[in-house]
Amino acid sequence: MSLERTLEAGHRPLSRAAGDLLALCRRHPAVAVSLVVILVWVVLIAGANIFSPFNPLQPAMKVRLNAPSLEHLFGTDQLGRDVFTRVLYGGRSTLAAALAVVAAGSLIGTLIGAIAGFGPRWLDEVLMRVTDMVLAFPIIILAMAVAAALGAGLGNGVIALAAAWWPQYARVTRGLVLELKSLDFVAASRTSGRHPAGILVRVILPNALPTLMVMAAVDIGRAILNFAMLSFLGLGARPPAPEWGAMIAEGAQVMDQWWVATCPALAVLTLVIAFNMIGDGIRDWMDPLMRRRR
Amino acid sequence: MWTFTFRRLLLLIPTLIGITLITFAVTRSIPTHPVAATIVEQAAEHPEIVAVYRAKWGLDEPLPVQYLTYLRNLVRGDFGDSIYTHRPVAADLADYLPATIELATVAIIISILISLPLGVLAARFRGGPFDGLVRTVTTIGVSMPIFWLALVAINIFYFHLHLVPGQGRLDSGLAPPPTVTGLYTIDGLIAGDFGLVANALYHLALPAFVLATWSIGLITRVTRASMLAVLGQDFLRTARSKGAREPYVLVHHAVENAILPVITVMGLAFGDLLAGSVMTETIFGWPGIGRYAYSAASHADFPAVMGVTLVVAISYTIVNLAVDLAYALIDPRIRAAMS
Repeated sequence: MSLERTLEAGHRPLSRAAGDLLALCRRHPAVAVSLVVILVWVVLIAGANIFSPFNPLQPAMKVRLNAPSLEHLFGTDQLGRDVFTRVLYGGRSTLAAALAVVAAGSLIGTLIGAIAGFGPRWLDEVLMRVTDMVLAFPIIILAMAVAAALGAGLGNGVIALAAAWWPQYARVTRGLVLELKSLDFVAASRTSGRHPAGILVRVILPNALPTLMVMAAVDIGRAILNFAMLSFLGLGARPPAPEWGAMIAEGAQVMDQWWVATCPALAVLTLVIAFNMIGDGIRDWMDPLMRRRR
Repeated sequence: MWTFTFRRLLLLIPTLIGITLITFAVTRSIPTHPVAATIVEQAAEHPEIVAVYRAKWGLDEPLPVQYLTYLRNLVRGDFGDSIYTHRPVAADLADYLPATIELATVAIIISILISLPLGVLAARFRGGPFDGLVRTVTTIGVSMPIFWLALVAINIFYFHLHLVPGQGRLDSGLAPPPTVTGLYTIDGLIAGDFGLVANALYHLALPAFVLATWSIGLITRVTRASMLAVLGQDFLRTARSKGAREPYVLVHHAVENAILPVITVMGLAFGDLLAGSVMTETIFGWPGIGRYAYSAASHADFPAVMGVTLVVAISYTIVNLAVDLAYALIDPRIRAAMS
């Protein structure tokens, strides 16, 4: 909630983003560390085939459940597959799914929120009531129901989470649009005879964009956690495809060989912590009250 | 206060209708035929059973009529039949819901008992080592994949240290107390069987602690932030300059003014607890609706999944109603504005 409020208060032009990021890192070293953590993961995951000589799917029964060693950094699982390799390849599914959830959720939410904030009063009323209805469900519960309806699978898991993800963006966008709508430059473009849809798309939304993008970037951590949960429940990616949540579920059967479940879990944990730290830093940074008191 | 309560209760009706509209929409979004997804395969081969089913849920009617039929069946307590357990979903839910309520309640009590002091003290000693520790631990807490934490906890405390009991709500030899509320701790107290209450708490401890991880992190962070906003205010300086002692100022002036956002987040945390119960219950073998939802999802038992979804959304709504009422009870300004 407070994130929404502070983000709404602090929209800044996109061009200053890089400078802001540097200043933010200087003020909050934790943000810099988090950025490095995310970068390292992204490089490792993107270059999975370079950093690992193993096949993530090919069983090798001779090396079942080997403890972490120099050859197998994170050990091997029940089928002798290299856990490090599977974590890297699994990151491709998990990260891609999380990005897709945030992208779809923010896009749908922004669209609905923009129409609600800019459109006629009755439409605003209707759209916001629908938003409230969806908000009455805890995200993972609604996603579980949708995923159960659609059937398990990576794509359906993304659709299911996105279906529960958009309301927060709808609310924030609506708030931003209502706020921006009352400003002078919007009135100016209205008197200059621009079409209302043009005002929304060309004048209002570009000004709302930075806030929404920051919100979405910080949101990726939560999406990773939620998608891993869905997969753990067997409703996202299905084994043998490597995916962090599904890998933790497989590792659950061999907890005495702790590395099988723990390595993908630590991947989730470190990434989510990193995104949350960045979110905290930005929230602090954008909250003028907090800044003054330092 | 009564007018406010009454108004707030009236507002519950559109919310509940909204919830059923969403669950109805999800039910109708099944790509395969709804009949195939909601009744047992063997039954689907008998045209007469399918016909009875179609008539009951009004599947040959237009969508609005279908929705009304759906609503009528729900109001009658008919959530459909589980494909996996072959029982009415409502009966299953009635069996499993008390276990979840008990677990979630103990978890929220644990979270509040731990989070409030942590958040208040972290804010009071802002920037110090204690504050740093609290911030680090709570950041880890809210980022934790609790399904993994549950696995680790069980492995350490049950398999290796033998400190906690195994699956279930009571030791296997013990019979549950006579059902009044369905919560074993309360029912045990009513029956005067303190040994049983102790055993129930013993079984609750670890799952409740693991489940509370998120909410401890969340509530502590909000308490700290809310306290920070209050601590700089003039009325605290006034209270101090009048000679009030620090603990008194902290509790009676600061906390009382910082509590409203904390109560809001407790409502949100309860939603997390319900969602988290799906994972925690599955791993701890806790016979609640969370584990029921998991087994339903893994057996493609669609009516059961929808039943849990509906019950969770309704519980969540009721908790948020309670939060609103608590707000009005604590803050006279809200009461005045609403009535």
